Amino acid sequence: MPRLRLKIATPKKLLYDGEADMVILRTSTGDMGILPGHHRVSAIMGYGALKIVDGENKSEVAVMGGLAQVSGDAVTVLSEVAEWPSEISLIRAEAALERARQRLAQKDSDVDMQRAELSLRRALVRIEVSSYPIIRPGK
Amino acid sequence: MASMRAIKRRIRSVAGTQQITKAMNLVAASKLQRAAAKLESARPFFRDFKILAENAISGTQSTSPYLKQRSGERLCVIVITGDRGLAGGYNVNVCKAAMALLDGKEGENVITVGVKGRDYFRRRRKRITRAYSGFSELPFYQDAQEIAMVALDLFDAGEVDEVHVAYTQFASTLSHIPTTQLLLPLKASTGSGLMEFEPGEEAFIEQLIPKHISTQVYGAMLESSACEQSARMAGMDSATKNSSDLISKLTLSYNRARQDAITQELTEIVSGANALD
Repeated sequence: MPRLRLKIATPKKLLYDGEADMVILRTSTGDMGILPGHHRVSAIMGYGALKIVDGENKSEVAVMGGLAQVSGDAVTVLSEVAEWPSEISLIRAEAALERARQRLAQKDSDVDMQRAELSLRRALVRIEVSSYPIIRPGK
Repeated sequence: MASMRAIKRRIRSVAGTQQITKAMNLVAASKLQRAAAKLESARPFFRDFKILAENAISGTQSTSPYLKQRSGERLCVIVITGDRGLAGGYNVNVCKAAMALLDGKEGENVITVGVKGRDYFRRRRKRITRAYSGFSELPFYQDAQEIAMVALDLFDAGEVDEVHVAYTQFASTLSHIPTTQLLLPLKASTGSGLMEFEPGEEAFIEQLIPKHISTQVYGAMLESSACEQSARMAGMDSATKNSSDLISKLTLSYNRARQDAITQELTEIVSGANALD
């Protein structure tokens, strides 16, 4: 049975480089489940949790946008920001959420609104993912 | 033969220089470690991004302007150098590689990163679109994003046909390769079959292009920063060795001068004593 070869990388570091049975990508248009033998596809990633199933191990990674590609059995996810649940500080995420909500309520210039919305989305993803039990896939 | 005092002064000055080069060597060594570690952790990102971009382009039938070859007469070259010298041939070599690219082209736009590159192209009266400095030692992704925006604007406005980046590739501590890479228009690798795009072909390319440029520029900056430190380390190491050689040569001639002085004094005393007799 062929397995997926998954790579998740950010400019800061390589988060995951190994095999997996199934990957669920949160693309900009919705969740996309990838199993071995998937057709070739390139996708824009949305903000959300990327799920990795590797045998008994299940894990989640918070991915904030970026691009993904499935080619053969290789799955590549490249994002400017991606974090393991263990790297997320829930306190900071909640503070950021609060700040972003306040800024959105103020309604200032357009640029500020965009930035506030993005940080709101990031905070929401972080809060969602950080509650995930830490089961790191064994290597 | 130079006077003893002059030689002594010379030795002291060379020793002073040696102390500086030795210190610079140590500083560069520790900075190299940091730069190399940063490069190592980011390499998968920009290497895989290149593969992803090429795969996507070869699987598309899009007629996006980012993929279409133009005449290639007007270039934009992003040159990545250091802010400071004393790094052997590091700065000059990458500038030369960029100059070779511009040679014979009628349109030129240079975006420089680092003071040394800016000075080099200013002296040669090239059109510098933007000059960045201050971060080439430890670049951040945001810096690359800003540079990518400038280059992309030039391309979008139709002012340039091609965007290149000139940088120094960090092959190993001893081997630095000045390299140029074509960023725009994106060239497809030989096709490996069609590909689907989510949400759509054009939307994907729209997202891909700015990220592609900033990622490759970021990678180039990291490669270059590791090269700069390692070139400086090697340069300062050989400078330190040279001053050691110089000091031993000078010490030799100092000793000779001293011996000469003693001999002469003795001769004078002896001949003086003889004259009394």
